[in-house]
Amino acid sequence: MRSFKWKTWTFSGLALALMVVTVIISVLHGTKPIRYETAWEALVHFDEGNVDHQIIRTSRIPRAIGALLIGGLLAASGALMQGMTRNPLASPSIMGISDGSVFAITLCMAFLPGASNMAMVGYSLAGSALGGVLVFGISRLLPGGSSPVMMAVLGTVMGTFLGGLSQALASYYQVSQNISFWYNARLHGISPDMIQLAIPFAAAGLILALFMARPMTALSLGEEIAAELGMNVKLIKSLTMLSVVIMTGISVAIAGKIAFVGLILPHITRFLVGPDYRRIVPLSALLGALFLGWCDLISRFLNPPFEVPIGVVTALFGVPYFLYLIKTRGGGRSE
Amino acid sequence: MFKIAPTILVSHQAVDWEDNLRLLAEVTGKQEAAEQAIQQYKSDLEGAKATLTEKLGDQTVMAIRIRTGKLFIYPESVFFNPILYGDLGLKVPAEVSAAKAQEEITIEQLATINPDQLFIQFAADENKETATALDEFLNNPIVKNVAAVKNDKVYVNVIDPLSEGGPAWSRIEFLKAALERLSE
Repeated sequence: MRSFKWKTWTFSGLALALMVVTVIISVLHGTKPIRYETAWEALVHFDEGNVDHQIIRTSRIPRAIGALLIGGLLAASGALMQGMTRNPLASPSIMGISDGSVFAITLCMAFLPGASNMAMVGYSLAGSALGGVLVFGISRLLPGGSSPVMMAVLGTVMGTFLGGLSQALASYYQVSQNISFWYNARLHGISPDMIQLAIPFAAAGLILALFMARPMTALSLGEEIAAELGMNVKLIKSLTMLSVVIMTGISVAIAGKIAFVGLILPHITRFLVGPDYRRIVPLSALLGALFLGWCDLISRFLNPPFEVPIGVVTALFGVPYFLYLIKTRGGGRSE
Repeated sequence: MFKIAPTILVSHQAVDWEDNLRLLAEVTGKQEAAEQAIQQYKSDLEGAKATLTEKLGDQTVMAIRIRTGKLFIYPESVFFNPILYGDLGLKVPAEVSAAKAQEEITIEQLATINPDQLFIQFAADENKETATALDEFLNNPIVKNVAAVKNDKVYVNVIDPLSEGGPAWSRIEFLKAALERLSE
């Protein structure tokens, strides 16, 4: 255990340092070549009429912070979900939670046009809760429904169903093009206001996640064991879901649906620091932040002069990893 | 057997506009009017081209479309681009030559291209949930520093925002509108 502890601190320190480096690289490199001196001036001697200064301040900085924030939130969500369900394939985008969020936003667009950003966030949170409840509820009702692959299949089916409903509603009410706006993640459109809006939710979700990390370790050994240890399993599960819903909901609300971050990063983290969720949750968040930060950077340079949608970049890494996980851990065996 | 009424396929490609017009003229028996319209377009073009090329020199002229709050550009042979770059012979921005289909560009990219004159097509129908997208775009602090915006050379919906330069009507009308704005 000591070596794991030492490892955790090393990895956390390393991840934090790399995060700073990632922000600096993201701010300095983009479509428009901007000199380092100019970027520095944008921070210390901001000139409203200088286009480069404006790009640094209103586009690149919020975008870099947004990528890190969302990467962290999604990876922490994935870690909690994998612990709670004892399912290595669990993640917000696979378990219907992101699709629920998109579904609620569609409903809101169709029936309550012109809702404020804040209201959208509310619908997004409610929708992710709905997606989660549907998938977990049905998995309980079906025989064998909580085996890893079965749940992933259920989540995918439910996600596709909600996605299909969203699209049907959208085309009926002729808001379909706007929905694709929510589907297609858009880190480059993140404004400083959106970051401000997201930070309280992100903080609340992450703090709750850290609190749930300790009981999660026991829960990941099985519900009976957790109950025997004197834990209130229902309460723990509800609070964990709440945390996941807040973190995923706010991510979808500001950037759309981004897949695979919540799936891959918790695994890599578990591989690095062992099975204790007090380490897995915070370090997943750090590594998830780094991962999405770098995916965002890659998206700017993969197909110049245009940007590649962020979802394509995460899928490049995510799909092979998902298949690998199904092959190695997908059968009835939980870890 | 199925019965299908006589069906004529008409291309919506901007580069086929003359053949299209002639085809429809043949169907409706208005060949003369069609030839006249095509000749008129060509003479409008010839009359303006020389002075315009001289006046605009090295300036970058671009046409974008805002849909669902996002900015889109098109390949050289699509949208108003054949008129701007093909017919009027203006300088083609690298991003437009690189576009293979409708491509989304970021605000940072637009600032990199830094067009001197900018045509924007913004249809309310395509921006139902992003009704304020055009205002937000024009008030974006980065966009405000783009040459065309700074110098008040932004032209919004010079013709109906859903006509996209393909068929004869939008081509003829866009040329008129563009010449008027660009020669100011």
